[in-house]
Amino acid sequence: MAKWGMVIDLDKCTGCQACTTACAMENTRLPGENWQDVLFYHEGKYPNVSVKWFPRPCMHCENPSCVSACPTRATYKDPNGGYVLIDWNKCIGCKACMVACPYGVRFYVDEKPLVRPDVRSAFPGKGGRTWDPPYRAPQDDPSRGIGIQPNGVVSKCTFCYHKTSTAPKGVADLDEDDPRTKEHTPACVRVCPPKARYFGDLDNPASKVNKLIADKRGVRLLDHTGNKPQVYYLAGGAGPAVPSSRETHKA
Amino acid sequence: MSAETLPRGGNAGFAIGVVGVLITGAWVIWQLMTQGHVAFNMSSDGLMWGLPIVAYDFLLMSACGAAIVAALGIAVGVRDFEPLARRATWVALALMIGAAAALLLELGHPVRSLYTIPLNLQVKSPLFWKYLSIVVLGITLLALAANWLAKGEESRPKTALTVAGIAATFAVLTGALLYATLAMRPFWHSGEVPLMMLLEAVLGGLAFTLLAARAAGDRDGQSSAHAARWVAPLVVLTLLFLAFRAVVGLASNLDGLQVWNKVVGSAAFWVEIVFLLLALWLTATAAKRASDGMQTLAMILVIVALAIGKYEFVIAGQLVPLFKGSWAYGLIQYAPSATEWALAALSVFLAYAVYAFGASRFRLAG
Amino acid sequence: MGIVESIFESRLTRRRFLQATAASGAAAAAGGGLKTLAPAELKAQPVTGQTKITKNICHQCPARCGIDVYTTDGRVHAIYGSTEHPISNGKLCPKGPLGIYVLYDPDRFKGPMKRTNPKKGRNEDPKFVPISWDEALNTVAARLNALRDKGESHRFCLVYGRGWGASCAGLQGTFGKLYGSPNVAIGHSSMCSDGSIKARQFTDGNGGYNAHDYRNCNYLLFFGASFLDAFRPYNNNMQIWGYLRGEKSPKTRVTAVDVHMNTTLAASDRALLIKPGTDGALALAIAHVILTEGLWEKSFVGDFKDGVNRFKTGQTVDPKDFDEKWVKGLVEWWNIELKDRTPAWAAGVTTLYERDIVATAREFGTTRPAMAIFERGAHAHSNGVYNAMAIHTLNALVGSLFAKGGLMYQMGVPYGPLPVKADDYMDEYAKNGPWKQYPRIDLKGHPDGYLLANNMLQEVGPNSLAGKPYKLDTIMFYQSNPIWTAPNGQVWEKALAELFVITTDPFPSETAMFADVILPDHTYLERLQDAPTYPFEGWPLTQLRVPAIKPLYDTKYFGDTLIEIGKRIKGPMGEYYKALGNSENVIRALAKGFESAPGDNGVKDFESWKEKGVWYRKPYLWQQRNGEFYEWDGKAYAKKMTAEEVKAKLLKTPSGKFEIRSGLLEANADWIAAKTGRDKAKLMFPIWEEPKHPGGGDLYMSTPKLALHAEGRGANLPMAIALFQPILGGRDRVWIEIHPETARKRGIADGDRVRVKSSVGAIEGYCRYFEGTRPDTIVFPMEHGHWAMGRWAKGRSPGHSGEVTVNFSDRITGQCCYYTTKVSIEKA
Repeated sequence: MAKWGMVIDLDKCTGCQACTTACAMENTRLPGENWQDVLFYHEGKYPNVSVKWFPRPCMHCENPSCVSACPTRATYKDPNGGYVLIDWNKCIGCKACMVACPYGVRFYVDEKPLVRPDVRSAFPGKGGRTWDPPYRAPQDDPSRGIGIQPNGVVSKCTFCYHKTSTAPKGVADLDEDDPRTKEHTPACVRVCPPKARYFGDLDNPASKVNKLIADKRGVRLLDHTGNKPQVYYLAGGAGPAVPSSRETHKA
Repeated sequence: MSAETLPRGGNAGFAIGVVGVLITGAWVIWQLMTQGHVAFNMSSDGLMWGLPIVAYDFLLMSACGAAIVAALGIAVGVRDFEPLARRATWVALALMIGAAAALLLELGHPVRSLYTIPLNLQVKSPLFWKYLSIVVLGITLLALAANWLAKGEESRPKTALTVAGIAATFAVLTGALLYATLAMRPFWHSGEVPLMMLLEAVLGGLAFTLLAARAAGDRDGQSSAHAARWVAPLVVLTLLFLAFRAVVGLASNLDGLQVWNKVVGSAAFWVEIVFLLLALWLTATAAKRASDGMQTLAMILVIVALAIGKYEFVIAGQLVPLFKGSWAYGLIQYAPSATEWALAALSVFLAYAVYAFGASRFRLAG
Repeated sequence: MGIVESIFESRLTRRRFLQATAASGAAAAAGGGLKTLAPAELKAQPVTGQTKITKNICHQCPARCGIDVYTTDGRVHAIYGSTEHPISNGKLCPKGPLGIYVLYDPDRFKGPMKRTNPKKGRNEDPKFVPISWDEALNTVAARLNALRDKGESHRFCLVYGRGWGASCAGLQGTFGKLYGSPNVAIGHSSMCSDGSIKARQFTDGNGGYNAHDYRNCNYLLFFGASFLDAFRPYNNNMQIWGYLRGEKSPKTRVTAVDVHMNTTLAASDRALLIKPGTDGALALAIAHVILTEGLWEKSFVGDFKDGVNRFKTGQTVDPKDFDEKWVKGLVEWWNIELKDRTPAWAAGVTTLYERDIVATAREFGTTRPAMAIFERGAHAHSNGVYNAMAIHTLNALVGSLFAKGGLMYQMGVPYGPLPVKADDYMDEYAKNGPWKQYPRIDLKGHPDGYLLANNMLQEVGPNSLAGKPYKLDTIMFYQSNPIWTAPNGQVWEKALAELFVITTDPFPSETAMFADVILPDHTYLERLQDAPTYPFEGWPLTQLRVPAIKPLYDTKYFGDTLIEIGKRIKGPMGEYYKALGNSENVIRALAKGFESAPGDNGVKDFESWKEKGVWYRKPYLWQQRNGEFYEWDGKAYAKKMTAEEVKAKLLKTPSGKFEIRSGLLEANADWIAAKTGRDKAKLMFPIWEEPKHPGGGDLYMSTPKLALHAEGRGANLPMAIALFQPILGGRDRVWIEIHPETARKRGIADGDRVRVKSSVGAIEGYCRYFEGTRPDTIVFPMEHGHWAMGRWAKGRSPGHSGEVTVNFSDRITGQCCYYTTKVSIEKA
């Protein structure tokens, strides 16, 4: 069983948001429902202003606080691949998972539309789904949170489960430049022009993701929360972030 | 109002409650059917739990508190609470029903929640345990209502009230646990939050019960005067929790606690404090505790203050956006929508209607 | 694991619990029964049809990234970069995936329409009614025939914006020749970046955009041309960036110059926030340092005869002491202009710090290969041509022209000839008709207008309205929306109200709202269309759009529309187009050229071109190395070129060298001096000129392209709107960037509604404080402020910058100076 992880190289990331739009198209998302998002920050005073950014998918944490918060097991950790997924047939829309997620990766679309007029009124849904655009992607698996969601449930990044779960068994990395794995690579990784994103098996010592994390001192975000994301960031230099002490001092 | 002024078989209170429920209910249901939850002002960018959850939480916690008061009176033997036990039991049930309405109208799939939570056994989630406790509490209260309150017998259902008291306590503590375990939300996170919530629950439950007792007339007035002695220490403890949380929040540099500046800078926060202090003063002496007018006012002040406190707690904990970068600027701006206000009002009217129904039919005194 | 973990380890599933309990039977029944009370459980809908992948080219910017379009069950649902396409390499920028929303835009025109409301105006409903293609084309042809019969065919004008290739815009010139109008067709290049094109023509003889060998470049100096925000080919730029900054050894260093912080500046090693319109001063100072510190590339530029550097600040040099190799006029330039242009001087002009100017100059001068890259930000100003020439001269000074890791020009593609020759179908009217006496409506090439310009699109509307040189009668648009894109577009509204307007827009653009006939084009995923590459890496490349699905609506490809109109023109012109047939014939004819020049990927004919989507042949045929030019001999750049060959093929100037002293400008010195008042002794050199700013305001206004919009086709895409301005978090509402002090001085709070005013108009929007914007500048993107274009595009603030932009153009290059207007801002 793979434990899928993602590596994002912040030295190469250009903040273009192609990952966000590729995800939005691949997973038929509504405007503002950024399963994958690029977060921008800036500080400083003119003329010395630093602008920073980083892409933020779902972290698919090893110890997900969302799974512990969900009262119905709608959100669950799939050990085959290490995905954190949502079963829309069990979700009751209580949003405890949204509140519990440190990384803000979850969305509930039964709220005011970000962009008006509401896209859902241009393409009204049927069969209990929130909307039905002509460009709807074909994959559909409500028990894993894939496809157009019904009303009243929470949704989030699935690590493109519909692509990655069908990858050839035992492969160490899902790389868009390898013809064998191109169609199995998550949309955000596949589209990234500076090739700042990598996707591979964290449990496989031969995987490129493990090599990058080691060589370039990959860090996990908000490590002090103990969620242990499966998404690592490479930022260069000696390593600017404080690692979780649970990982550095094992009892 | 004295017992003699209460008309038999239907009373003004019940009528008011029902009319309120019908009007607000119609508006809320209409909004939810035509717009869905778009009618609320909540958003995925930061404010996920708004006024409906505040109403639900406040009414439910107060319900648990009232059940605890009843349990303390009969099962534990706190003499001051014993004469209030019947009324407290019914108050608890009424508040629970109002809370349930608020929650079920807020959830995406309310009917599904009733069976998926117990059947899917997510033991890791505090909400699962809260649900179990509430179910146990609800069933116990219903049984008590049917067998003890409705029949009007002189009995002391110690076992049932013990179960109710424990279930209620557990419900409050596990409900608080969901907030308290969230490490990246320092406004909510810490071990003192469950304790604080238990305290506020008991104070709220007691206040609702005393208010109801005052409204019911002189006979209960005297017993409530004794029970009102407990209000002062509970208020003092509540103020201490508030003060320490505020001071720590203001003094700390920790990211997320800057929202305390906004809280302390808001008029509502000071209203809360003033109301609690007033209530303290109004229940300080035996003379004052004998006065119907003063006690009614005092209980209303406590209830409003606690409601403000609950709103502050739930909302302020979400005002610092987490991981939204430039998409969410500064602090989240939130104000409940008209539908949310109507929903909160609906839950209150419903609780009131249920209480009034029981107050006119059951023996709640003594 | 410990006790606590084992308690909380979720081992129990519902099924296991039910199996384990004695009451499992009852519980299972209860579970089943309860389910029927709940809303129907969603079942996964299986994928039925096969997924088809077709080739196409993205339409959202000029880069022309090859894309794979995924269609399943007749629905287009995914776009990814084509792995085998040399520009996209399997990748896409953020606009690329959103192309599907363009296809399914609910506001598209569904078929040809005609206007029934004779009144034209912003608030007038055109009251379009659907008509048949026959009626539409006959209406247009009748109009054109009538003009021809009257001898007024010059009054028909065809304007185009993003023309793609030989099967669309490429047909226009022939149409104009056969029909008899100097105004068919007028391109948009003057509203694009002609300033840079002309600057290159004046200095190195090539009137075009540069191709680049980024992968081997060790130093990049960007003047505007936001490499990571919009500069094309944007997608490929970012791929290059990942390589240059993440993998290449040594890592390429970057300095970026602009007027506000953006991702390009933030990701570079050094960000320089320069005063608008002063990039030339910075370039001159850098050149000054390069010369005084002896950093120029001696093998290319030449050197002092005795090798002793005589370039000293403030001191003239005797030209006889210097042996020029491939540049002309270096020492004269130093004497006339450069000797006093020190970093300290430039610091005063640009408001940059002297230490940063010196550091940049030294890095640029000592790192080979190095490139100085610029486009409109530097030259859309009154002094633009000189800013541009100064920057481009830096490339000559460090020897990066035609060098490995440097700049070059794009080679053309070996298209086959069309099956029908236009010359055989020219009647007497076409050869000698009265139309020949008339100048072009935009006065391009005319001494009263813009003698040296390539186009003057921004003048078409105003000139026709003023009747100078004449009034047009009928105007047609292809991929162009000048009411929106032109500066001071309000004038175009008045102009178009008088004319018979035809548009081929698929979308209800502002110009379409003034149209009399609409002949809607397919959107790109429905087209068969060729597109030779925009300047990329020099070697020839051309690609093909293949329809992913049948057209959704009753639309027609522009190439076919033009051919169909042509068929209906009386005389031999009609015969020509009947013989030509349709656009597919054209493309098949083009593809025949590949038979003798098959692509590196095996594409040799129409069918293989459709299958692979792209034809290309590497390498670029020439290379300059250590001051010598070589041609590719099949195996290496080994065939040394003579000076005559260099002049003919590469440095196409009168002298065959890089002319710092521009011969072309000098040849037109009289006209330039007469029309612009410049000094005849200096106007042919890259000089510093204080920029002039119309508009009457006190703040500069910059309207950059952002990653989500580029050529402005994202206005009606809700997903693009939702991500539009990430640095400031502008999405449903897009912000005007303003420096906090600048705002406070005017009583404007963060987030306030503001009014931006100039002498031509006013617009309103909301502002946001941003320390990354110069205090003397406001910045906002150009995308929003539409009053047409679709339900999502309409009515978004900030208003459209064009309404406050003065229509001012560089008299020499014709460049529309978008960034030169100065505005004022106040609380609204």
